[in-house]
Amino acid sequence: MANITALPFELLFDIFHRLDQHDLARCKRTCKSFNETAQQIPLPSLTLKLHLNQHAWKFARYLLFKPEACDQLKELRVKWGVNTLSSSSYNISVRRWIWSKREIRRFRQLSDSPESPASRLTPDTFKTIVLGIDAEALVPFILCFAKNLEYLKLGDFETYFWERHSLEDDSKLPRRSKVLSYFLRHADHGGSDISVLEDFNDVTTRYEDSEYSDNDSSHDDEGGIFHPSEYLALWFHMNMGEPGDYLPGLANLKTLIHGNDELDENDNWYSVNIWNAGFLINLLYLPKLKRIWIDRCGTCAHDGRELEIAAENIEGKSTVEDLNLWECSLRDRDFIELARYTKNLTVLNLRNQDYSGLIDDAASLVRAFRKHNRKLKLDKITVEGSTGVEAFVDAIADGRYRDDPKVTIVRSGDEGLDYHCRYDSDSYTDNNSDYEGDSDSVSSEPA
Amino acid sequence: MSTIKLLSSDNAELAVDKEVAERSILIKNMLEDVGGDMSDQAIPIPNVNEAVLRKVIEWCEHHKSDPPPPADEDSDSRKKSTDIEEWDQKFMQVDQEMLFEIILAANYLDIKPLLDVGCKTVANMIKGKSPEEIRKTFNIQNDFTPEEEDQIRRENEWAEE
Repeated sequence: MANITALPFELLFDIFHRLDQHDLARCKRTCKSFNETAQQIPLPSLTLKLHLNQHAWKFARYLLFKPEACDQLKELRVKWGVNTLSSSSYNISVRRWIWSKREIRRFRQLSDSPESPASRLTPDTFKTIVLGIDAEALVPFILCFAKNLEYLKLGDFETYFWERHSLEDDSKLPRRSKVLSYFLRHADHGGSDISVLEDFNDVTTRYEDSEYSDNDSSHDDEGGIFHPSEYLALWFHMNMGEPGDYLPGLANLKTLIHGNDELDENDNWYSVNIWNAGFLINLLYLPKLKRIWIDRCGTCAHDGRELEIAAENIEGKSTVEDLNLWECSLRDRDFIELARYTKNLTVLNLRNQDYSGLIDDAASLVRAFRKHNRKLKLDKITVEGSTGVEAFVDAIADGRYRDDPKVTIVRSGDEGLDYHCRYDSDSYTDNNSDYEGDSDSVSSEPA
Repeated sequence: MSTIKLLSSDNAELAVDKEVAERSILIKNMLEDVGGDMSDQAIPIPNVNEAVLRKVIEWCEHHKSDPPPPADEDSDSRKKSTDIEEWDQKFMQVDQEMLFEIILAANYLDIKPLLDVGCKTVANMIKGKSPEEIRKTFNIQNDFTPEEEDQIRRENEWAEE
């Protein structure tokens, strides 16, 4: 009698291919032949939930013994969970994740074996994962294996954690490193946790030796764990690599959404979550990248990590065609610096609703980007800034289109500070010649 | 309209319109190979018995004027959709033995749209069910040890959200 188990592999595969991961998980638990077939169904997209039901940890556990599970992953979205909660009494509910001894041994294999793509993660990243204290460290871990990834959305990242404080009082927000140390202290006292960590003796010893204090935010991390939030970074940034040596999951990336591009203008962004713009240039140079959407990065004067320095050793131009920077606290000269590394832009979108990071001289920015990007048509540029409209038009089009009906300027913002300048592309046809004279200096490598 | 004869595995001879039979790419290719003249000789279909072959022919009759499937037949949208048109749903209301026989026959005879309907039907029978319900539905033995079962449950917890 024909039974479902009598179907040849390819037919069962065809059936399973129509199921989502939820149903496939149940099929795998049904019987051995279902398990074997269902395991072959590729995972094309994944939404990783960092703080919901420890979803990210569970996925990492799956990946740990089945690293090929991410081979065909094309789209990865990260969900943090902050925006889904009401703001006033937000409690961080991050339980520590406890690995089994077998799983910890497996991590040690991965970190020690040079052939393992995960061996490139920084030692601190591994420790954070093994101790189960910061799910965001799993993002670069997954990116070690997702070598065919084309779309990555990092979501509403937090460079700070909340801990029983109201969002109105930003000054009380603890840094992630403090939350980290909080968990480490508790790990030291939890009996069963210690036994899990025995396999990682050097790690526990180092934590026991470290002095963490709730009241001291400027403690020296020497001998303890280095945490990226000290540098306003994510584990993602600490591990992403650089031109010629990127994480495997970034090597084929076409679209990077660093933030959340689905918020509407009334959504409240927590500007406290800024990440260090020193990492921006390396992202711009991902080898296959076409579209990049960035929010809330900022230049941090205090650590000297400025765009110019980050870009020192980079040659050639970015492949990015579609550049979007939202609510970034960059100085005008940082934007102009960015322009120097672009060549292929067809879309440029620079927007700041937060006046503290307002662009002073939008006209110069537009001029700089157009100087380097010959295919960047005026109607594909949106810049908000405080430049007067007339100066803006003068700078972009040398005044010749000021009275042109095809050029429309949309004004927004309470104090008249913001301008969207939009131009009909037909108005800009032979205008390239204005920039010919500069082209040599433009294409030469940055000094 | 020309008629051809098919010979089932249990030696039943069935007369079918050529146009209907050619929904099967296997038969279509065979007829092309012999120059189309099979009026006096039955084409043997050794893998399919009479009951199943009749059922398959019924489907081909109903769908004889369907446009050919789109070229990108392996596209994800086709794979993901489990919508089945009403006539096909009724057609597939058969016992499980027949259902899997139809799927096997559609695969052998190379009738992709019919295979598609069959696979969708089975996928819909799996959707939303617990492992135990799936076993019950398809009369499957649980051949895991409790340890294995627990291991697989743990590994796949991420997908159960």
